[in-house]
Amino acid sequence: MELTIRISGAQGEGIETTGRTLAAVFARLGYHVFAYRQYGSIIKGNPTMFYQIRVSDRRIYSHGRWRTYDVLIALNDSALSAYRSGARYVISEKEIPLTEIAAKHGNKIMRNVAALGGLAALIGLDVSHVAEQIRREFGERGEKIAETNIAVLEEAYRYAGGRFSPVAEVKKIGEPRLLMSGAEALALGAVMAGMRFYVAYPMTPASPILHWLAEWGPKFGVAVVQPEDEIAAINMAIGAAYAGVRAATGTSGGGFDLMHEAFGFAAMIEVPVVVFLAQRGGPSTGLPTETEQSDFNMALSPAHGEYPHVVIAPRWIEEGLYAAARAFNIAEKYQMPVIVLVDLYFNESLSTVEFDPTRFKVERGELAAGPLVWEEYKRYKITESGVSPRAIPGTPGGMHIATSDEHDERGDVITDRHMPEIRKAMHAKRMKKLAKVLEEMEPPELLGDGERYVVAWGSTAMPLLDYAAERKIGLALFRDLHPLPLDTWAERLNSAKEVVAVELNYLGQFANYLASKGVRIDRKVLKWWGEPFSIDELEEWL
Amino acid sequence: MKVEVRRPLDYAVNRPPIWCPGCGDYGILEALRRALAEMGVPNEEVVVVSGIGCSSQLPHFMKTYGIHGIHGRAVAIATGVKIANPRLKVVVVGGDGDGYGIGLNHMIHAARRNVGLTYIVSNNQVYGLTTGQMSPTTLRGTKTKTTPFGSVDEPVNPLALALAAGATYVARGFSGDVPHLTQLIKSAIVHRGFALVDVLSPCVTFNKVNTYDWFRARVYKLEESSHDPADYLQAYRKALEWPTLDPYGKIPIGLFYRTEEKPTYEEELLRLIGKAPIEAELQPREVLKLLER
Repeated sequence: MELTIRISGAQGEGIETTGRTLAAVFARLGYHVFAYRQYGSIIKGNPTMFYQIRVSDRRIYSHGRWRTYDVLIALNDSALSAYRSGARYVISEKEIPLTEIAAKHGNKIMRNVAALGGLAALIGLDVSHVAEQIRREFGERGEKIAETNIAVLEEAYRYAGGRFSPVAEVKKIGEPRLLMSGAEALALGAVMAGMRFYVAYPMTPASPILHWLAEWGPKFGVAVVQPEDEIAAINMAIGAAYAGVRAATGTSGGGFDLMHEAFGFAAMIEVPVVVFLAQRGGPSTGLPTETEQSDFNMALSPAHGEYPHVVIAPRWIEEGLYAAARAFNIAEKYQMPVIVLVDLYFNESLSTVEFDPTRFKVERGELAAGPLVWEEYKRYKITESGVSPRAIPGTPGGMHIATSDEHDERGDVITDRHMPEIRKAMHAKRMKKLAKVLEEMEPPELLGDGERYVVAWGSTAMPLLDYAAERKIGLALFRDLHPLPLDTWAERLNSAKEVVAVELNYLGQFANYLASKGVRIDRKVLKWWGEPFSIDELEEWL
Repeated sequence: MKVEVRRPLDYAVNRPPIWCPGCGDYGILEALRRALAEMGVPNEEVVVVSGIGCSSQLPHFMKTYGIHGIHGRAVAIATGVKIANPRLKVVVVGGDGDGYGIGLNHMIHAARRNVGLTYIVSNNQVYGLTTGQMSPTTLRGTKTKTTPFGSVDEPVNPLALALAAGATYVARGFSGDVPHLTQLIKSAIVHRGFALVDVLSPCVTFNKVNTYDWFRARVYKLEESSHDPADYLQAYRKALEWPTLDPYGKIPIGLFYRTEEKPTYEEELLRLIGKAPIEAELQPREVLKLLER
C-alpha cells in the first residue's frame, strides 16, 4: 500500500496543521510516513502552499514524486488549478461543500477539517482515527473546540461516504510509529547526547531546533538562550564549552557567515562546540523558505587560516537522531568544532523513525581530573595524537588561558615576538588532530550493486533511497564529509561504468570536492531552484 | 571550610605584563588582584575573559582561568561561561574599542539580561594595539592617526548607555587611584548582576591629551559628594556630566548606581532548568517518557 496526498491552500489557513494531523493518524496506524511542506516567506497569503504526505506499508525516506499524487485536497481555486492535473482524485469545494459544512458548525476556517473527513471516506480510513487524533491535539483544555472540529469532520465524512465509494483501505497495520521532523530529531538527539546549553538566533530553517529545545530543553536541564545575534550565539556556546558543558548553536547560511571568526577561534583554543548548520537557498537572504545544499564549500572552510574541524551531514531523518551524539563525541574527543550540516528539506520534513536509546554513548575525551599541579599543567601539551587533557574552570591547579593568539603549550601568548619554533610545533599539534579524527570518519554507505553509481550527501540521500529501491543502481551516500576517508569505496567508484553526482546546488560542490580527491565523477545532476529531488525527476535525469 | 589568606601576588604569574611602562592597565591589573585577594576567592573559581587589544592581554598575567578571545566578543563568551557554571566569578576585561565599539551591543544585552559578570573596561580613548587610531570614546576634536584634522565623532557615554540598558551596577574608576579602583572592582564582583566598571586608563604612548595629569585635575569622588547610588535618575544625571555635557569639565568617579532588586539571568535560567548546566545529569529516561505521548 502506498498513498500520496497533497493538501494545498493559502498560508495561514491551517494547511500545515491539517497535514501534521493527518501524518500523525497514519503513523499511529503503524504506517511509514513522510511529510513535506512547500511554502513561501509570507505569514498569510500564498494561495498555493502545499503539504505533501506520503504513506506506505514499507520503509520510505522521502516525499516521493512531484508530478503525480493520489489525492489532491485543494482549499481554493488557485490551488485547484495549480495541482489538479497531477492528481488521481481531487477533494475541493466542487466535490464536497467544505465551507458550508464548516460554517454550519460555527466557523468556515474549519473547512480543512471538513476536507479531512472527505479524505477519510475516499481512502477507506475509519474517521474515528482522525477524531481521536484531533482530540489528542486539542487536549482536555480544548475539548470544546475539538468536539466542534469533530462534528465538522464527521459530517463531511458522511457526506462523502454517501456519494462515492472508497478507492483504498487504510487499516491499522502495526504499532504506532514515532513521527518527527529532522529538526526535532536533531534536538532530541542533542538532549540525549548530554547537551546542556543551546544558544541560537532565529533563522529559517534552523529555528525549529530552537523552538523544540525552548519548550522541552528546560525539562531535561538544558539552558536555552536566544541571544542578540549569531556572533553572540557562537561565542556564548564557546564560553559554555570552555566551562565544561556540552554546548551548541544552530543557524542557517547567513547566520553562519557571522560565526566564521568565532569558529576559527574555537578551533584555535581547542574548545568542543557543535554548530547545526541548516542550509537554505543562497546567497544572501536567498530563498528563505526553500531548500538547497549550497553551503558545503563554506562548511569545509568557514574561517580564515588553517584549523581542524569536522563536518557531518545526516542523510535521513532517523539518522539525525544520532547526529548530535556523534558530533559532541567527536568535538570533545578531539577538542574541535563540529558542523552538523543539514538543510530545510531535512529539518522541516516529518518522517516516521525508529528510536534506539541504547545507541547513545557519551564520550567526553580527555578531561584533566583535578587537583592538578599548576606549575606543571600544560593545557596545550604536545602529544602524539595532538589532543591534550583539558582542565575546566573550577579544577584546582588547572588554571590556564585559552587564547586566540598563537600560544605555547601552557597557553601563553607568544606573539609579542617572532617564535617560529613554537608556532611550528603548536600549529602542527592542532593540525595533527585532523589526521587523528580521520580514523573515526566513516566511508559512504554503498548500496546496491551496479555498473552505475549515484553519489550524494546529506538529505539528497532521502529521495535517492526511494528511487533506488525500485531499480538496479549503486548508491554512494556520504554522511561524514570532512575529513574524508579515502579507501576501497573510491576504487569501487573509479572502476564503475558511470558515476553520477546528485546535489542541490549549481556548482556541484561535493562532486568537485570528490574530484579533487581523485574520485571520478562523470556527470552531475544538479538543481538549485528551491526544492529537493523527487523520484520522478531522478527517473528522468538519471 | 578552610579560609586561606590571600595576597595580590597569589593571583600573579611569573610572566611580566607586556604593556608600555606607565600604562593605565597596570593599575587595573593590580586593583583586580587586590580585590580578589581581599575577597579570598580561590584561583580556580575565577575566569577572566577578554577580547583583543592592549588591555585584553590582562588574563595572561592572572593565575586564574582565562579566555583571551576575539575582538569585541568577550562579554558574549563570558555570558556562556557564567550560564554554564554560575558558581564561577567571571570577570570581563577589555578596552573601549573592544567593548564600546565592535562589541558594544553585547554589553547592552548583557546589561539588560543582568548576567552576573564584572565588566572592567580600560578606557583610554584610543586604539593602542593598532597604534593610535580614534576610538568610540575619543573626545571630539582630538587628533589621532585616523583623525588628523580632529575627530568629528561624538564620543559614546558608556555609563549612560549601561544605565539605559538596565545595568544593575555602574561605576567609574581611575587607574591612577588603585585603592579606590580596588574597592569598586571588589564590590562589582560581590554584586550578583551585571556590573560595569569603566576605568579612566591613560595610554601613555598614543594619547597625549587624556593623561594622568589631565584626569587628576578633573576627577572627583562620588563618595565624597551627596550622591546616592540607589537613586537611578540621579545616577543618570551624574553619568551625563562627562563627557556628554562638558567633555573638559569635572569627571565623577566612584559608584554611580547599584541595585540588587533585579534577578540575574543565570538565576532566571536556573528557575527553569533546576540545576546549573555544569551540574546537571543526563536523564534519558525522562526523555523517553516524552516520546510516549
